[in-house]
Amino acid sequence: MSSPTGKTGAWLFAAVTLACTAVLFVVAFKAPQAGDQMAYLPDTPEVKRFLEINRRYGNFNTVLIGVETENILAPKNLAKLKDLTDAIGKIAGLSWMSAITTVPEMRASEEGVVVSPLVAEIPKDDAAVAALKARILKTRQIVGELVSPDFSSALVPVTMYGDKVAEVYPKIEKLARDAASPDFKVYFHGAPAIDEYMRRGGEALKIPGIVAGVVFLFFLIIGVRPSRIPAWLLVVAPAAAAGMAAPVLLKMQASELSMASGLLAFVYGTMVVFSYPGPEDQKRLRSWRRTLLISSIALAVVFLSLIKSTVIPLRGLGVASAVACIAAGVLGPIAMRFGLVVTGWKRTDAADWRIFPGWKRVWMSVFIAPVAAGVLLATLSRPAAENDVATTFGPASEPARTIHFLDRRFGGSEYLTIVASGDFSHPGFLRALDDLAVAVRGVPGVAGVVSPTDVFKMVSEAMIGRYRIPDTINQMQALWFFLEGQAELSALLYQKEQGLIQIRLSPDGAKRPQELMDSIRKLTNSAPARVGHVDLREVSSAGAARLRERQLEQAGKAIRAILGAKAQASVREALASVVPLELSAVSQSPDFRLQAAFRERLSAVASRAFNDYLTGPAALMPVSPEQAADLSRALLQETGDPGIRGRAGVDALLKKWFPEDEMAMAKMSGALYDRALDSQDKVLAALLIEEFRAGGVEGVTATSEFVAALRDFVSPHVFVDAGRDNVRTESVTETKFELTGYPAIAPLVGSITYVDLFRFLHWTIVAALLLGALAVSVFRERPLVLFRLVVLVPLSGFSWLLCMLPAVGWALNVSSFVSVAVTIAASAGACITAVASRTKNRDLQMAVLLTGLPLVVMILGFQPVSVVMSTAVFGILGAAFGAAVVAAHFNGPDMENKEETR
Amino acid sequence: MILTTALALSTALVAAPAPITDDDAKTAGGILKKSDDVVSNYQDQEFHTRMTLKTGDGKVEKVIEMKIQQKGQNKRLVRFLKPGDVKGLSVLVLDPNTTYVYLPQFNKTRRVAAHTSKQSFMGTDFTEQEMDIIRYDEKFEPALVKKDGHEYVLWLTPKKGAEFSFAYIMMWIDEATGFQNKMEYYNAENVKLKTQSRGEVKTLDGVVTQTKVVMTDHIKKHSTEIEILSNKENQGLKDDLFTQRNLEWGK
Repeated sequence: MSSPTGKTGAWLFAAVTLACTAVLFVVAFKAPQAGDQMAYLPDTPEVKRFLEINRRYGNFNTVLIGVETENILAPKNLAKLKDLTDAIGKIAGLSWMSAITTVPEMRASEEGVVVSPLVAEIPKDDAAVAALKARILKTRQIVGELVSPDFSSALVPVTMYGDKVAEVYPKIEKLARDAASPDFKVYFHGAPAIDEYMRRGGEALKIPGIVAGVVFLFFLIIGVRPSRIPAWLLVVAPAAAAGMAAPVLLKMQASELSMASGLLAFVYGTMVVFSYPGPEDQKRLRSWRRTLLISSIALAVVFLSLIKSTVIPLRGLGVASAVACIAAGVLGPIAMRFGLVVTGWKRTDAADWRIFPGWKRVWMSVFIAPVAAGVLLATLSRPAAENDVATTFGPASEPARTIHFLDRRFGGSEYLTIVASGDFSHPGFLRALDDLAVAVRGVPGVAGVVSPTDVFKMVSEAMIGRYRIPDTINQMQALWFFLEGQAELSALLYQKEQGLIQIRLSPDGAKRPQELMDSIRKLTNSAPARVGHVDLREVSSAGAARLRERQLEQAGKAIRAILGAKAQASVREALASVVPLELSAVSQSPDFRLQAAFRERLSAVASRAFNDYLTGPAALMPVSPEQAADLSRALLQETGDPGIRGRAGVDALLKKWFPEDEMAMAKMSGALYDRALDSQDKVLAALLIEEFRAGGVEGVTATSEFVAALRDFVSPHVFVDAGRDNVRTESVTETKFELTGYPAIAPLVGSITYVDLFRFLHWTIVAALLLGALAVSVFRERPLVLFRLVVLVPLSGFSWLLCMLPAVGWALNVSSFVSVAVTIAASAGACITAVASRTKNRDLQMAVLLTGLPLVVMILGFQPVSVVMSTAVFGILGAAFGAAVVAAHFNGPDMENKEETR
Repeated sequence: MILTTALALSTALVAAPAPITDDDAKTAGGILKKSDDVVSNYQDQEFHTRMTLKTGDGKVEKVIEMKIQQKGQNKRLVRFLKPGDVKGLSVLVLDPNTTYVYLPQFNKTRRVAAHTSKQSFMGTDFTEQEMDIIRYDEKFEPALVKKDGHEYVLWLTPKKGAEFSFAYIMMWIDEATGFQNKMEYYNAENVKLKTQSRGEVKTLDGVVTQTKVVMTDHIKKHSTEIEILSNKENQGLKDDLFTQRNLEWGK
């Protein structure tokens, strides 16, 4: 480097640099921030699909407010809930909200439907509360969804418009928190709640951050040469700005993580400035510049390699940090000169200190390197990812307590989703979808299922008096007329072409998601890919018989799915024994409409009897032997065939269906209630057929009429699998069912963000260690440059710590966020080493302090408790360890207490 | 439920103008009453209307066409003409509590009794609650804010007991015609949530009337445009037009 420039040039340089810095800062802070937690998911097709689906249906804009009381229907609690939901409903920016205090009640009758608020006024006494409870039990999709089966708790899902979440959610949360009391606890679940929780955590760090900043400044002022501060500004600020703006200028996604490059520039730039030997000693200056260049390139390469990461923000971090390092490394030597000229600083002497370690220490490093590499290799496959809330935030944290509340009161908190694509105006597609939903309800580990078909059936019940999917496309289109514009549907349906089956997992199911997903995938894979419509009145008797046989088979499968493991294989045979009679009646009937009308009447009678039985005023499911007998008698009497025996059979079947240990749950479980109602005709048929068989009654014509109560069996409109059934069909529609949800991608998240990142870093360091050892062996004469490049930089204290972290992380079960923090920690450690190799003891200590404090604060900003605790502890230990290691290696007796002369 | 309101708003558009006199303008209540009289001054009506739903960037999402016959303030028969999947669907409103829906696809008529709500009407930017208002003076307390050129600006707050999801409405009433030219809907935090603009005054069947209304939802960034395509007033529509029998047979 030439002699210092004149003052005018220096000032000009400083002015231009600071102007460019200001522009870059403006660019950097105008970048759209990927501020939500989902930005940290890996960029894989599965994750992309998960994000696309959740964004399309507003799931990331939805918060679930939980309210836990002793009795949510108690007047005081219900009034409080109503006040809360009324207040939330007035906030601008809500897409929709649902609660027992806001939903309508539909009362269908033969003549029509009456729609009114479910809770029009707060009940004043016990009788009114009991009446309200009975009405809630009769209203579909309430118990288990908006009110807990034990009536202690309520859920209020609130969806906000995507661009309003940041503005609206804090208002919602404040209202709910204001309403909370010890006997009216509130919980928040969902992406907005987690984001807000993390943001609040960051806010809480302001004071520690300020304290750390003051401490840092204290050390900066008293321990560091003040004359270098302007030069420091000329290095740090432009480097930070360049790094932070780089992702924006390169049109990459910016995130808080890429903003962290500013910190790196701060740390690295500080090292650059305070290791500057001064302009007089040209030999040392050249060495300093060379070391700086090498270390900045080395760091930049390490960071740039993050561009291979599947986690998008990490790519941003890689590029930003690489730019920051290069900027600091290149700008440093230039800026130092001008900066010092500007402040009038002039070095008068040069320190006499050695920079090259003794060969014994080098060999010690060479010996240690393979050992460290061995440790790395041994631990390479050990890390396991845990992505659950309790691990990430801590078991006593608010998110973890919310999960516990949902598991305890609503039977589960995790969801899987089946994305159903097809024509939502096509009854065939909807029946396939409905059958799938019913089958999924029977999978062990599934606590509840919400299907778009439930909505269609409810509207059908309201508008035409039948809880079923209509038979024709025209009828479906008419039903759509009543649905369009209903904001709640946006959570389940998208433009008549896609919909979601939401599957709530029980806590038990959530513990074994893979097994559960395999079971559900079997069901989605066996669903028909193409569904076509056949009008039985237009096909031959033989064709009709074949289709009926296939329908029968499907019905048998459905019944077995409904009854789960309790279903008997004999159901299929039982149905088969009576079907020929039915087939005969159907195929030989001259007037199909009369047959259908008769069956419909019987179906209505059976349904009514079963409904009355299930929804008696005293309890939801008053199943007892006597009542079962009454049901049996009622049903059998309705058949008009007094010769049928068999109440014991029905009784036994009911007992099988609701075994004693499940009785309490059956009484209260909305899911089970819905399951029963959804499938009542199928279940009735199965019950009666087995009953007749048990009673030795065969071939009774009345039995065939009950078989006809099977929904899909009575209609002349048959929907067949167009890919498998050899029959000419009309209106064929494609279907596609795919499984997604966080449990489905969690293994990917864990393996990619955590394990893969560690593997990547491991291999980098292993290579560095081994290459370093090789370099020292081969280039004995001039090993300095290569040694620093490939050994010293990665072999810092933090890098050593990094070597051990996979094992530590695996042992402590820390979350994937550690990987992010460790990346930054490692780079900071590398900076320390790079500079420490060129500086003396006091500067080294200062470097450790300067690095450690802001690093801890920055890492704390990532908030998740386990990460905060583990990384902060590791960070401090690592800083100390790094100092000790480097000091032991490079500060021999001949280097101690050598003060730099100013 | 969506059909109980049955496009009251569209009917409110078709109105003969009458100026706000000095007597009317003495009080805010007088101005609003006169304006309400203007928009509900008919014995019976028969008109053809088109609703166009648009996204924030102006893309047309859906077009709905209806023929509406109305007698007095309550009796109303609506027949849907477009789109094809709802063609023939008809609604008969006899009074606020008695509505029948005829579904040709099911060949069924159902009675619907519903509580109006904040739900969107068929995906439009009107809620059932908003469309249920024919006379504002029945549900709102007016206050005169200012006279802005040839328009009176009223501040309408819901009367005690009246259920409305907005905190207040700002309404611009044309002095010369009594037409309600614009309404802005605000929440309690003074955030403007929606704007309803009425205009395109034309003479239809001899009656000077506003034929277009645009409701813009500023939060959803979505708008709905209603056009009156044809209109006949005071034809002497008979009561037997508004029967269940005609609902099913007159399709």
